[in-house]
Amino acid sequence: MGATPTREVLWNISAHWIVYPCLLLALACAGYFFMRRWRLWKIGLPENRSDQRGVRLRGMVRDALLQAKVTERRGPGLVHVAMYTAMAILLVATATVAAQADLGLPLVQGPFYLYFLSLTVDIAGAVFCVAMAACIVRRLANKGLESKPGDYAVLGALLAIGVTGFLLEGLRIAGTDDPWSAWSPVGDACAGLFAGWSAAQIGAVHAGLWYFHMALAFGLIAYWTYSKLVHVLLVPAGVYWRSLAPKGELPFIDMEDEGLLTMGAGTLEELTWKDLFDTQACIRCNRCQEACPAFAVGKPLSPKALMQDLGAALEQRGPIVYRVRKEAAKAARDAASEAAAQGAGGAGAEAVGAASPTLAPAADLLAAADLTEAERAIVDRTLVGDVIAPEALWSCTTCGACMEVCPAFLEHTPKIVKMRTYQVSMESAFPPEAQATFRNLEHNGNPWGVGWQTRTRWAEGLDVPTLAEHPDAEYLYWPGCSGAFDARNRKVSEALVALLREAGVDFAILGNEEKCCGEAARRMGNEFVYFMLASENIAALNASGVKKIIVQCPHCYQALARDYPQLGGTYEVIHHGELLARLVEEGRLPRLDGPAKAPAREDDAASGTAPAPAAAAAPGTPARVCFHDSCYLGRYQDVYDEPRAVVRAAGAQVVEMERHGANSFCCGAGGGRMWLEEGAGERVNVARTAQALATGPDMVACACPFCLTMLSDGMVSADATVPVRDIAELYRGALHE
Amino acid sequence: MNIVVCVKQVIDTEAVITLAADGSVERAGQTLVIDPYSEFAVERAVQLKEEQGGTVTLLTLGDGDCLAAVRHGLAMGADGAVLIEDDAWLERDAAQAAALLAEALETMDADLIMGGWKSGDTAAAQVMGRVAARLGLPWATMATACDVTATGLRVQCEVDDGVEVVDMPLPAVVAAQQGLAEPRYPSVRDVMGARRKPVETRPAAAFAAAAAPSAAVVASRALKPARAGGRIVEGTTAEAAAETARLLAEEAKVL
Ligand code: SF4
Ligand code: SF4
Repeated sequence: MGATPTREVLWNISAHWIVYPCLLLALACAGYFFMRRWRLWKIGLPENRSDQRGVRLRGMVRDALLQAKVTERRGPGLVHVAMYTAMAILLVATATVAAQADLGLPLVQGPFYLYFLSLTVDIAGAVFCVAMAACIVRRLANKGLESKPGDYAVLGALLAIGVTGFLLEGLRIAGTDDPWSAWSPVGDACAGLFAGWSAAQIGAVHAGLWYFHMALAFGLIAYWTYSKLVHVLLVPAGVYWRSLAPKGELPFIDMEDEGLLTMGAGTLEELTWKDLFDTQACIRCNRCQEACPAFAVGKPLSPKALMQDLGAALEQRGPIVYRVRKEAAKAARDAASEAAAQGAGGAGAEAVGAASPTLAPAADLLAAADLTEAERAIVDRTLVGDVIAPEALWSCTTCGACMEVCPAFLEHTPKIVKMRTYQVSMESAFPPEAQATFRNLEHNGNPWGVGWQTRTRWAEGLDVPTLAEHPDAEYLYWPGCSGAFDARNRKVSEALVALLREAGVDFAILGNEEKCCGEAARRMGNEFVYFMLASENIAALNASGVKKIIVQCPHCYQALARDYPQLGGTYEVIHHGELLARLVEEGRLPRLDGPAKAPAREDDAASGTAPAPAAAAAPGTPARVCFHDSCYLGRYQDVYDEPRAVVRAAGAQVVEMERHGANSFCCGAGGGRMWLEEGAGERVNVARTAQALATGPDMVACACPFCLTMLSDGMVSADATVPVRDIAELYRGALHE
Repeated sequence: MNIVVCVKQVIDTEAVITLAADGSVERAGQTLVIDPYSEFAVERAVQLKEEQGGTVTLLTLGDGDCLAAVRHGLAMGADGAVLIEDDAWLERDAAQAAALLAEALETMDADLIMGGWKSGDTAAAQVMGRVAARLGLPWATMATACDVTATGLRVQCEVDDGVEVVDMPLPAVVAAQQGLAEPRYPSVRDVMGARRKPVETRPAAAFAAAAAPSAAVVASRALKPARAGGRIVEGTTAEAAAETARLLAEEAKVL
């Protein structure tokens, strides 16, 4: 060895060329398995996920390559980054060695050799081995992960590759008496194992182990896209193809289309390719399941299981649908060319026209196809019923917690809604209690079925003008069904009207013409009722030239701001929490917490910087207010700070539950669950109320009528007397006491 | 089995009604729905068809506005409908309505005629019985179960404090009570399918029964007088009871 640090690459290995055919073979296997997966999602409906390339690419770099989303969960996230980084370093090192050996590039020398190829790679290898061992232990210890044999096989193989790598390095150091071995500390230590071995022994064991190491590596590459390691490809792809639509937007269904034959997803192939891709990209990391409120209280729903069950069904059904479609397309082409060959007669020309590749629906093709009994049994399995249990489908509150945490940005809720849409619209299959709600919405435009002519009764004596009486009002105030009909929530409407008056906001209501926004109907799968309600509302709003709308229900917010544009209703919608915060900010409503206090972001109580609130607060103001984020105001609209600002403006201190903000825990009412009975398991609202009570609050505040109902009921169940208030009531109460 | 179901359209039962100057109920702007009792009958008829085979035809007396109720019944699974189109249908009394329906039924060759035992709006509970009488058929009313047997029908009827089970031959008339069947919620597929089902419109003028005048004519309508305020008797339970008994005996003179 000279003064330049280096090592002999491929020491002791005579036939290293063998790696290239092996690699090709392994890559071919990987390619084949990948192809099989690609065919699976290919059977889905089209959907454009290639727009806004720049945004998509940036997201992929941030959340996949730089692992931003993965590390939101500290523990396993950081272990993942360690594995990921170590793996990347080891790959570069391997490529460098190959480049020197076969391209003749003098890379394995000098400081690069010492600092990177020896020291860094050694450390990376060690980190890698430890991380793999840790993963195996974690899987053994945590039964909740539901590990499969394949998981252990992959981890075990990776660990074995790492360990044999170090043994090989040790053997080489021992065999070559490497002067730079101190730069490879782990390898150097391994070399100690072989002290006293003869050169022949070392050579023989080294050669054998080297081929074993390589066989393992190539085996793993071949198995790569078959196993869950395919996530290395699919997760970045999933991040790239993530939804960039406004959150909670559902696919538009044209109810006026005479040719509309079906809606929603009744079979896997009625989901989009991205939906099906998701089932393949799910890495079973469990994050969604841990975030799911339904799962937490023992309902028969796990978003992870949903993905996995859809994926497993797709692996069975997908190849059959793919084949049947392909055969039908081929038959159509053959028929067309035959007809064309028969001459230029009128009949022939017609047949060519008919053979343009619009195939019959998959259901018809499958019904007519010549399938084996086993295949027939597979295609006869119903999506909801055999693959996904109806109880699971109907347990979802569409809270979006699962989607918020998924590292691959997979989309659970839209699939659930699509399946519900099919169940309700095509099969009329839904929990029986929903029927009354649907009818009430149809007949009286509100979920309780109260006569529609009584909608404005809440405003009697409050002197609230209708738009007809005050057509120039700046804002349309939309109390929603709860604000208009529900006795408890009418108090919120009253408080809000008083505050709007005090702040000099110019507003009017629609009156009895207002109908339920249809949000719950749509998320319960009743697109038809949603469409009727929405189109009537839009007609009324557009006829009055409404531009700006104040809502007090986040579900109305979702409908008016995100659903209605699809039907030609575009408005500037603001939630009362946002508006009140703005009015306080602008000084149109007073601050009771003293003007100097900067609004703290996080938990005031925990931050320690918050001044003692009781000093500034009005006498009737509760000191500690636990604020519960509504899913449709928080996660869906990203409104977190404003309602808290209103609570602070009332002179109260905000205390946070462990699950708050983007990670909030649903009250149990979303997705139309407000109108359904609670089945198995604990009640979601009871669980959430317990979480709120654990903060030791003087009051629980929320900004959604459903949350208000659910948490108030939860208090009754918990035998607790902590009051539950909407932020408008809380603030108004503080103002006037 | 060929089943004909008489269907009425009514104002939504939850609606807040207003009265016109003559005391009749204002229909403008109201949500019109299939009468709930007709709906029980349609549901059971469709179930019987699903069990036994055959057809279900709806028969409605009304104007063009009533087609919504008819379409609803078709979406529930009826195969076709006949509308006796009559712009004066709201003024007709139960006897006339029954006469028109019976006349239409004479040509419809029904094995089983069903309908609501009363309607959600007028609640006269007259029509189905009169139809049976006019056609000379056996009838069962307030039916809460209706099954086909080897010899005809077995119908369970609600009577005061109990049920009565009757067997009857076909053809027959069965009037539905709540509980006969839980009406289904038609899917969009069904609603769309209903648009293609045949609805035959027959002008009332073509019926002999249309010429007969109403047996009863409404002279006037007025709301019930508001309840006069009650009296609250104060005191302990024993005292109050004694005082109440005294008042009932001496002032109200009912004891
Ligand atoms: S949306 Fe919420 S309730 Fe539904 S699966 Fe996801 S986490 Fe669970
Ligand atoms: S969070 Fe995403 S990747 Fe993880 S289990 Fe759920 S769906 Fe699969």
